[in-house]
Amino acid sequence: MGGNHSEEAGAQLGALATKKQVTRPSLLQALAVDKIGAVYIWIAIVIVFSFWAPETFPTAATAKQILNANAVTALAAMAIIIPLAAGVFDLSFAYTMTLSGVVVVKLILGGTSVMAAIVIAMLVAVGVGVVNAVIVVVAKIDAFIGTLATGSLILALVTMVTGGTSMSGAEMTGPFAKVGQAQVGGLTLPNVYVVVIAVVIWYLFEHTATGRRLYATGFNPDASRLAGVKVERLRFLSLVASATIAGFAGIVLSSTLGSGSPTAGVPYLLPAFAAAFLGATQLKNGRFNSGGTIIAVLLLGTGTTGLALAAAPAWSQSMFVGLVLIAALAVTGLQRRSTSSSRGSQSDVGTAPADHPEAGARSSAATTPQA
Amino acid sequence: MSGTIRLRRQAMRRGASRSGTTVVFAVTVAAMALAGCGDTDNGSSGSSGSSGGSSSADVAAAQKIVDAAQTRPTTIIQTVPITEPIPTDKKLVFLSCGVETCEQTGELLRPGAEALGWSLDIVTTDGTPEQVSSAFSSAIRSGADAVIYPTADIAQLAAPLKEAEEKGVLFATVASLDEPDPNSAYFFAMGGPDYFGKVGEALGAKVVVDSGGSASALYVDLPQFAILTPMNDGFTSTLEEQCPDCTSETLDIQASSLGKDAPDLIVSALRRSPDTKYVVLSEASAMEPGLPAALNAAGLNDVKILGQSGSEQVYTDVQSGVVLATVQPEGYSYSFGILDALARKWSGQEVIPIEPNLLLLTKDNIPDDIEGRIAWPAVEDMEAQYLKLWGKS
Repeated sequence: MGGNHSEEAGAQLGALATKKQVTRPSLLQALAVDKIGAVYIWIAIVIVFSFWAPETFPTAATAKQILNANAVTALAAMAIIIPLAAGVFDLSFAYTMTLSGVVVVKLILGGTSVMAAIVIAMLVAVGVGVVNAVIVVVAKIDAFIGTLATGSLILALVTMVTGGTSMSGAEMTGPFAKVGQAQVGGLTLPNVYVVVIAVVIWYLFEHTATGRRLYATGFNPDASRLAGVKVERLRFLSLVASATIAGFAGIVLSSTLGSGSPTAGVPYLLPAFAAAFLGATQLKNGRFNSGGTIIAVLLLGTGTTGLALAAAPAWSQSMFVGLVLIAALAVTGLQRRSTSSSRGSQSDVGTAPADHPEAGARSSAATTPQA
Repeated sequence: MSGTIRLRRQAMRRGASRSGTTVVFAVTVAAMALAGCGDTDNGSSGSSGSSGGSSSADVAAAQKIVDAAQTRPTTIIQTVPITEPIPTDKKLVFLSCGVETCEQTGELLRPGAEALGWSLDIVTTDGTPEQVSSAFSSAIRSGADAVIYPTADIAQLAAPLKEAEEKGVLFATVASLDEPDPNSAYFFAMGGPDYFGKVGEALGAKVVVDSGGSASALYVDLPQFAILTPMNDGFTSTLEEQCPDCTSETLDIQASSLGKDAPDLIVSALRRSPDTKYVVLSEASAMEPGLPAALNAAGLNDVKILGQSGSEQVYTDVQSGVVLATVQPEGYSYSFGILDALARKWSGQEVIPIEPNLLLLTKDNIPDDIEGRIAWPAVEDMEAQYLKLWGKS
């Protein structure tokens, strides 16, 4: 039985590779509603707001505003899609953002050079990732609770570093400000960081064996393990990667804010997950991916900026994000159930997702298994 | 057969995706329709300009208000000395509300408390009614003679206040809408609606003066903090009285937007009204971070920022001219004012209601020692003057 599982798991993974080689989608398939439906919704939103706020919305300035205002959210979302692809939640990323932000500011205000401060803050973030990984992978504590607990510890550390107050100074307007505020063609540098990181993640997920193994780990860790995938190592590294990107996002955020705030990263918790889950409904039908995440960030950002430009009531932005997120989760649930039922009675690879502790979180995350 | 099954699975997945996309689309449209049907007036409009020009007298009157606000006073507002002995064996408990300004206000009590021979405990809370009430009750049980909690909503503290009444424990607050009763446990408050009205007046006058009598301003409010409403009222009424050519619009933002998309909301509001060149922040320490960068990125470099409250970051930006002016939070006035009220109460003298000083900080008058500051004593030797009133110097 175990041998059969191993053979089937190997066949599944092989099918993943094979499918990649022989089933390149046509342009029509690539532009299908089920692939990029959010893009069509985005276009519809743009059209609606162009009529609703004709003086202000349909302008290049609006496009720049949306991109500039949502770049840090995109970075935060990029941080979490890696562990999510591996079937692991990282709820500490927002606190890691805060920690790296206050560390870099504290160091710069204390006289450390900007580059050295950034390197040290990044190392701190990597350290957080390692701690998360040890807790989740080595100690086998549920990622949802484990990373939440780590977040609480980070919060305590942040309070120790900052005394509970924001830190700033004249140094924040010097070279460090360029990290988050320098512009390239009217777009702030964080947009460039988003593109670079998104491309790297895309390449990792789509063109490397590691990426395929990450997805396999997220889909069915037991089967993947039986097929020879180093599941624990991948999960370990995914949490370290998440914290690293979150740390970078925190540094960029503190440069944008011009201060090290003890609460800077927390507001990004929900928007980042919203973008990640909404992004999973795009391009890859239930798989977390960087392209879909960017589409999601832009969709949500366009909606909220459009509502603001149209002078919609203050509650409308939150309602828009909340409803779209619920709809996105419902969609990924629909996709996941249709994929599961389409497999029928044919034996699936390894155990069913619900049998694995992480999959309990995944089922709420609605990571759709993909053949 | 396997090909048929594969095609059927693909069709089922596409069907689910299309259904899902339809759901998302429908929800998105519904959300926008709801927003569109809602009240699009997201704040009360202030004064609207007339076609007449602004007389120089208007600007001159505003200038007097600004000069008074920007001049550091040399005497404290309290003038009546305490002639009776002030008991020394008193225990104060300060409940922190979890916000930066709150935390530091507690520490500002310490020098004066020590001079009076009183002990001071600072208890951290997260500002939720449950934690504050619980901490209040714990403070009473621990033997506190007085409890201090800023921005109190008295209705939410009914239970511990009743307990305080029974045990003879005094309660004082600042920046609250609720009037105190000198004969009850809640016996003293400072910085109420009148004070915040004056803050709004000072900010309105500053806009009038800086613009030369013709300005369009965006006032950014936090409706969840009702004590800030009188400030908006003071701001808009000052513009109406002093500047017929001036206009103002109010943008209400939620506390949940602070630290995230507040700058973007402000930029959107400014882009809706391209003539607006002044942004007035009702709570600068929370709203200002990220705003200069957002304005710069949007090409709105000619918009000036003013506000109420401060932090190291805000003061750094005032010093560099990025922020035109801010009214500092009067932590020192509050602290010494509360200690003074307690000293009068416990020594049997009449408790005299006083308001805090008001200091509008600009690039020209902000002190140099900004590091770690949320405020400075409006009167440089405030502590010494109070000690003299208390007979401690």
